[in-house]
Amino acid sequence: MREAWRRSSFGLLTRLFLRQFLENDAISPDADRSQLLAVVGSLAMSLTLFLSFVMSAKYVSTWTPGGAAVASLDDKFLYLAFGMIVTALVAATQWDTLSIDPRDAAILEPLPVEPGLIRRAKLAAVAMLGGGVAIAVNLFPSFIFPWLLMFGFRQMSVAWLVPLVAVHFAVTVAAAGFGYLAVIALRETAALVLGQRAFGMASPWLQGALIVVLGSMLLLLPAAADGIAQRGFEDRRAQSPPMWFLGVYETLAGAIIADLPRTAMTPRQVGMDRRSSAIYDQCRREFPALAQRAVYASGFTAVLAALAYLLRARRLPSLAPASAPAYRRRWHTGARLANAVLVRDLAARAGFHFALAAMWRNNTHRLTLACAAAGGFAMAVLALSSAMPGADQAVSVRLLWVQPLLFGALLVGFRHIIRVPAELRANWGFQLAWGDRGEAFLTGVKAAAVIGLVVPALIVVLPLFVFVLGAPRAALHAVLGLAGAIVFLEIIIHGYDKVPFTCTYLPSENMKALAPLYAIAFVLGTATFARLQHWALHDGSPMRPLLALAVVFVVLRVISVKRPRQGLVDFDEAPVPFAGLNLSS
Amino acid sequence: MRDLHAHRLSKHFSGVRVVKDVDFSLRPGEIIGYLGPNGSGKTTTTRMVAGLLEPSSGFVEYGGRKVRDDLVAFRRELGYIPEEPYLYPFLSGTEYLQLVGRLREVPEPLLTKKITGFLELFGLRGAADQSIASYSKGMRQKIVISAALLHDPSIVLFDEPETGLDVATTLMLRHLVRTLAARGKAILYSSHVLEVVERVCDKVIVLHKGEVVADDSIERLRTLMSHSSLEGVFSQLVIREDPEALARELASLSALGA
Repeated sequence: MREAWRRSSFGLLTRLFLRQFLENDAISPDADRSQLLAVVGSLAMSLTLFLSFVMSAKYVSTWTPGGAAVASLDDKFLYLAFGMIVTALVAATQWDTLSIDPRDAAILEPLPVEPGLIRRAKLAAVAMLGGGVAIAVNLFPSFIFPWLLMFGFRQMSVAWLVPLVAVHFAVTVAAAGFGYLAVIALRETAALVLGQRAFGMASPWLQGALIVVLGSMLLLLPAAADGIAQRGFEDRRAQSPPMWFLGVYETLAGAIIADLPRTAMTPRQVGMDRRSSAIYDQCRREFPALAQRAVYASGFTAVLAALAYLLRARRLPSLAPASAPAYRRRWHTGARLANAVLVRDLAARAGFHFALAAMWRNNTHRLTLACAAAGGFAMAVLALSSAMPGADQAVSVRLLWVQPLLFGALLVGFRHIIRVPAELRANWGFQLAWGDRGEAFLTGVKAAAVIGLVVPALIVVLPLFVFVLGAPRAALHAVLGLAGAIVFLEIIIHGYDKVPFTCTYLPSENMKALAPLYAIAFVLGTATFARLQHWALHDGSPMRPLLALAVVFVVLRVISVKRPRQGLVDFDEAPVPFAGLNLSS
Repeated sequence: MRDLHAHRLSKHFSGVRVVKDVDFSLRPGEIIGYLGPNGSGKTTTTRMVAGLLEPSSGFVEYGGRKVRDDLVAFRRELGYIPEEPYLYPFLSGTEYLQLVGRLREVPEPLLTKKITGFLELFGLRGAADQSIASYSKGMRQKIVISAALLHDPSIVLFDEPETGLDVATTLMLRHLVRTLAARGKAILYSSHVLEVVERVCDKVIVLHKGEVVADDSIERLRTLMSHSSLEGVFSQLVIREDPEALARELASLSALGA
């Protein structure tokens, strides 16, 4: 039966489309797909196994039913939101492979295969990916969390574990499926509404924005999943999709723990249980309405996704060449302006324009930058949430962390992408045309980072600072932030001898050891810089910090220019074919 | 204008010999046809001459100096049109040419003029601002040819440049090669289109299984091997099987089970 499926046209096409999920731009063409799948799968499972043990360990100690019912709401919210965001992120990263690619259509259409079969196979592959990820993420927690939750209650028989596990598994997988379907619905509806050409232009930006939002949400999740019951159901979080599914969870299985018979409790525990039960009973009234919302939202999203998907899939896409997008024509004016003002040297000009194009138009680089932006936004939101104005209305130092955290995260992402070739097979053009102007080219690349990343981020956060600090101090803060970003960029690219976006990338072996040190240095640097800005804003004398930054910049530039550079750039540096253990020495 | 000499160039990949002891000289104004069947080592040789691949043994000299001693200086004089026109798909044709021109430090006003001219002559004006991802193979090849000629090189290496080009452009390419040679450029023209080589080149080098089996002017080869065409000479030198018999076997294999 299985062999027959594997050999059927449907089975062959489904497996082909499943393989395509592993063969996107973010993965090296030389990577071993089976090994990659095994590593990612085992990582997802071991991570969820570890986290669910760590999170659920607290239930092993003595709990009252009311206390456990209230405390478990936070964990359930976390599991639901985690699964939902992870599957949505998977859908967002697989954005272009979620529907039939024009190249697939061009290859498969001439074959004697029904177009309907191609569409069904793609749909099956998309469903298998979503289902597989949803199950992989929720499988272990579905056993561990209910088991440890009932661990301390002797009045519960093992038979109660079955409904707890079943409900946990069903609701978390449904929530994850909702996240996955929501991305598909968004993509397919946007494609349907905008049409092929407009969607072609909007699609990369939509994907990037989605990854930024989802990545930020994932990083902010632990903070969001705190005190669910205590904070009530009035705030915006209560309207979020994970809360709807929490409503389903509690409607189906909440009573199993909350209504356990109260046996053998000390008077202190009785008091605690009464207080907790009162809080839970208040929440309990909200759960059916939330559950109803989950059912309606799931139904609506599933219908929308299916309708949009099927409407779009009626005709297989064609490989018709696209006409010049309007933004390219507008870009000419901006390019001329940048050439006249910013990059006057030819090699710097080449670096500037190539870096801008590579970082925004190349899928892999755009995704990396979106992840970096997500990290930056999440850290900025955390800093913002803890920023309270002082007694004398002075600016909180934590507020001043926002800008350097965001810029820093983006520039670290940029530092990573310059090492990854934008198109490895095209680097022959660089090899032939490359002269001895590496330093000038790199100057252009750095200018592209400032113009393409720092300035847009500055524009995004500026209104917040104008609102909080007032226009003059916000302008001062922006200037200091920009200067700090330029110096930080100079520091992280210092000593980079290769051609950005072009040479092969060999990961550094000692990165695992150095990454925590870099992270600590980054946080300490941000804190110091925020304090420096606080002092400058408070004092009203920005010249001294600006002067200090200028001195650091000049010193770094002098060292960089005077540093001996390697003669010929090795564009195709290969990894060492074997590692010597030197056991005999 | 200086001479280019390849001295006993050899290349091994994982112990497998791909090119063995290839020797030739290329003078300004000369067009050498580099012929050979698929897998004979033509592309490997041109990549070694361009400095993109390091020879396992042997070396290339330009103007009496080994090119690997100063690759940057050599490449300033070099134009290279590879067999596969791999380009950055996210750039437009204009952007790619600007990138190459700026890296080669062609002054901006001249670069703009040259890019406009190349795109116009190759009929790519309308697609100039489209991303290369939407270009056909022929369009990409035209961009590659433009990029190779932007800086007015002294040596031009063509590696099967007619791949994907339409008839009109192929004809134009032949004239272009002759015109470049007439202006003193040294040209190595690697191809397996015998007709083009016969019409364009002064002399030919025939490669078979990585080794040079003939190196002479087309006229002399015809006389020596008593054939009226280059096709006959080529067949005698490198084709070991009867093409007609081979074609019959292929057709029979296709019809197997029918």
